[in-house]
Amino acid sequence: MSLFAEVWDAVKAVAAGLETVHKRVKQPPATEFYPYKKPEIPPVSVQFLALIQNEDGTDRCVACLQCERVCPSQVITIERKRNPEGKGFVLERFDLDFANCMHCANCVEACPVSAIVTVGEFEHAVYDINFLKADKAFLDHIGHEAKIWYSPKFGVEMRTPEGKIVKAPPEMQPGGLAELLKEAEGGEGA
Amino acid sequence: MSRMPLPTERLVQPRLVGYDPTRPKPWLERIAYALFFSALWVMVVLAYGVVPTVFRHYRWLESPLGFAAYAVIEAVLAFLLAAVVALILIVVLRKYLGKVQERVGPMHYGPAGVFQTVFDALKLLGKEDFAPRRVDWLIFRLAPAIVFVSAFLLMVAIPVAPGWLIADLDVGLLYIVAVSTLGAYGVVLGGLSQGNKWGLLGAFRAGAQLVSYEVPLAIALLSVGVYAGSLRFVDIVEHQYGLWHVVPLFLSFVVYLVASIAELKATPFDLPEAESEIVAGYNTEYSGMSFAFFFLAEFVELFLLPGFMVLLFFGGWHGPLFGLDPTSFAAGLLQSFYFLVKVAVWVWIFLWIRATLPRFRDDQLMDLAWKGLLPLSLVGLLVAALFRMFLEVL
Repeated sequence: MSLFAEVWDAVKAVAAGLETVHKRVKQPPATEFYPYKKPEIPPVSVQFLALIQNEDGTDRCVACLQCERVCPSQVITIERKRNPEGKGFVLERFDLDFANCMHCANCVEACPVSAIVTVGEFEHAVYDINFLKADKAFLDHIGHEAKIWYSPKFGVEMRTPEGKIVKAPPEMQPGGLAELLKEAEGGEGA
Repeated sequence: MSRMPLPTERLVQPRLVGYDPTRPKPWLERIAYALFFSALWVMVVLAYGVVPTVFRHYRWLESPLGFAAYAVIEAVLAFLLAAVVALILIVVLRKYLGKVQERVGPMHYGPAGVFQTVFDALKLLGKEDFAPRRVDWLIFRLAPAIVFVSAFLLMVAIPVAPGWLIADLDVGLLYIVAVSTLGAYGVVLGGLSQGNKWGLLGAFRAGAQLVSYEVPLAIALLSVGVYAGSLRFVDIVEHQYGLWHVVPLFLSFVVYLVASIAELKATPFDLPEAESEIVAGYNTEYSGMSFAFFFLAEFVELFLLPGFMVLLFFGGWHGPLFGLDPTSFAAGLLQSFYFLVKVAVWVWIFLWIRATLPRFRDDQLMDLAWKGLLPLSLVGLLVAALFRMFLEVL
């Protein structure tokens, strides 16, 4: 009798497999349709770096050279001059060679005014390696186009449709900030 | 230009061709499959219905010249039918496996990628047909031809409606056993001739598999012959008017199902070309059209073996005729349609099994064939003989 029991077990197993496969047919595909639908990368990930300008169009950057100093690959080149209208310095040139950049984001961490930030834009592919040498105009453009960006000092910031720069709500901040705040509130209430 | 281009002026713009998968149109895909099925039906009607009927109707065509013309036309039609079958089944297989594995399968050429195999075939036509230096040249070139010719010759024996057939063979069952075994010779020779260890292993496995599944398969076919009292396909189908053979001969049907999957070299028994173990097995060194002929033969068999199953166990072209004369042309159209629908259902079940089961090991396959299928097929033969005896007594 054990032979028939074994055969019956095998038949049941095959039937269960066939049923599972048939259920799978109706599920939507898990494929990422990348060139057709661009995925939303969180701004905390280090893809492109960008320079952020203030709402009135002036640079946030104060040309303190901190990013140039900490850059391990030494891909940032800054030229600055005395500010003719007041204190401090203004940028003349800000070059960033993405071909040699190792995407460590030390510059973002070192920046005291959150001028250089990480954004979710990620399409680096070009035909010529020289095209990866970014200048200030390019970095400003990326900063203007970005809807949302991240720096450790200010957290995730976003641009409203009117063009104002505001801090993003805690749900969009990294590190589970929303949960931490909720826990803190609960603690106070108790 | 020394600076990085802005995203608006970037040179590497993704080239979006054809179908947009973010906006799927399943009805377009269904229409394409319906058109494929109609093309297949038209080809079957032409190759099995119109041309042989015309040839048999006009007596003056039975001169040597007329017969030669008939043979050439029929061969061209059968080749076109084989090509259509392969083009359809390959894309159906790829789309179905994609859906099962939560992918989309081919999607760029034609609606939902249904013309992918056409472009694949064009690519294979344009490729160099390369032979490595140390191959046994003659056998290496002969093997794809043997495989394809065996699948091609099987198409001769298949009747699709009463009177719609190319050759009315009295020994049809014997013929398909003999000719389909010939194809395994091509596989073994192709694997052995290429001087490649993967090909050698594939050939060994194909040989072991052949001797394992062919005996139960032949006995299962024999039991159908015993029960129907004839080896002729037309007689066997006529014999099923009361009851389809799948009911009395269920054991033989199970044996035929398993053994025909083994003959197809489809997934639970795809040992000779196991991609994850031995690269591509017997067709490792083949490229271009030689490779395409192996592929073509495989998919023609995926059409023909369910076809034989339908003829032997599922009543062939039986179906409601709505009062039509069974020998008329309209009834022939309808009956060939029923036959093709039954074959399509069985092809789907074969693909389903292929998408489900993992690959057997060599020894498991031989265990199954020799210890499981062979006794089962002998019991099936006994059952068929007993039923035949009762039929004759009654």
